[in-house]
Amino acid sequence: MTASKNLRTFLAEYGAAFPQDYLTIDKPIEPAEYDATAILEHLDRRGERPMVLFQQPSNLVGELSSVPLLMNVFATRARCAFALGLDPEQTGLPLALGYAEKGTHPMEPVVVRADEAPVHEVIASGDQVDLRELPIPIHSEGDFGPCLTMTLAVKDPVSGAYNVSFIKAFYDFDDPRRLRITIHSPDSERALAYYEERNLPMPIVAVLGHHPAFYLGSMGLTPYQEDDYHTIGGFLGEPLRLTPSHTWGSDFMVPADAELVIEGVVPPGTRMIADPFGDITRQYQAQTLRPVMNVTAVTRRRDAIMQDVFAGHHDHFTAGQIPKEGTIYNTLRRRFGDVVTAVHMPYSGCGRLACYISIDKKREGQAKTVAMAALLEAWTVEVCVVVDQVIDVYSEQDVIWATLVNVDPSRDVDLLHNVPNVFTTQMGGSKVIIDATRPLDRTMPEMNRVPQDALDRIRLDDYLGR
Amino acid sequence: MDRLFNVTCTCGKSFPVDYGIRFADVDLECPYCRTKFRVEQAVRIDERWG
Repeated sequence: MTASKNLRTFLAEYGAAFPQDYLTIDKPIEPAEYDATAILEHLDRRGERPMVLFQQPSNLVGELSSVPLLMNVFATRARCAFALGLDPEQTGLPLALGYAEKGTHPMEPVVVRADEAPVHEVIASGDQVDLRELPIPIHSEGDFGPCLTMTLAVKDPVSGAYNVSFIKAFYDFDDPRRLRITIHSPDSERALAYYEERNLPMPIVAVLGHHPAFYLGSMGLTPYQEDDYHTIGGFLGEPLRLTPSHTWGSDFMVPADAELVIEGVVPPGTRMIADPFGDITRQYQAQTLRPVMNVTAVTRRRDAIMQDVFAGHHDHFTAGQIPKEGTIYNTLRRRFGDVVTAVHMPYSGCGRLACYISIDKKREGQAKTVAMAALLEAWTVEVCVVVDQVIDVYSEQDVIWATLVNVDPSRDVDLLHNVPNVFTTQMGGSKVIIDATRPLDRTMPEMNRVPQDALDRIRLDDYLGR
Repeated sequence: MDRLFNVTCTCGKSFPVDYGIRFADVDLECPYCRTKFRVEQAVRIDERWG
């Protein structure tokens, strides 16, 4: 029988297919002294974004942790494509569309007995819990402290649906059994509000290691009360295996094949200081009051690997960029048909702030209509640029060229004032639409090109002697 | 966009704070030296980021 998909099946498959893109570092490192992020930053500055397994990280008391640390899993689109069972050579729109398609095939999870679940091989509960044993990194200078960056799962108290979201969880220097958590996704906020209105503690779990398709699947824009455990099955290509949690039994299910799960409760009404954190926009989020998670249990595989995201870098950008591209493209195609030809959320905008759309423009003004629809769909986007389909939206140089050549600022740039933005940029409460398509109602020279028949006739190898 | 202000701790380091807790009855916590202090105890408050 084939093993269920989990982090180690992925590491084995990816390591065999792309050994040069999977680094294992045996030398001891101190993640809480920025060693992990410094190594990744060095690589990033060289344009290298391999997945990195740190075999000997120290824990928060400076001892060798029994748990290795894996980072940068999502740092390239090709690696994400591989994780999703898609062609790693197709990293443009086909990847985004492949992602979106997987989101339409939810699968009912299957249940594994608690005593058979790999994630329950080692259990620490109550006073046995000590989060200092984990190799929790500090990512950027000026961060509040060590921070877990993977997903937390909550259960909607009305529908029973689970919501899985990337939520930061800061180690609490005052209590090694507490995390300060930055709940911010609409679904998890709704669940927390429900519990707090009734003065009840909210169960919550952190999932710190699983197959990357588990995490990519959690990034899909699913409707409220749609169960992410079902959705994730579509991305894994097989039902997600669940098991009763240690704390609540079958009242709260956890991924059976996870590497490491932290179970806890969010006490109603409690808020504590957390942040700053160098976050998705490569800026620090301001210190503020956040809910806390009182840890009830830590369960893990015997040889668990802890996963973490290299925040504010490609590892962070890519994980959200791909789902949004597919979702926006499908929405726009439903509304505008084949007028819309491609969508990209560029790295320059951290995969969140900017959206480039290409269209087969039929009439003047069409670009702005498309842009307005995109802004409605993608709440993180602050700047939307629409170009002609001859422009490759994945080539930022071409998009900027089209903007510089085609845009008449007096009519092609529009500002929407007093709209909500989620990020702290100088855009404030504004959004920008730029129509960088070639105007149809004005005389404009065409883009130069070498004739296609000449390109077809000339075989480069004939002239270069290859 | 949330309004921010910037505080400087006695250790000399600065960090951003959400305006929503400008007048809240809580201690800020310096991420560099872990000193806890009230906003009004900051060495410097810089609201130019607002």
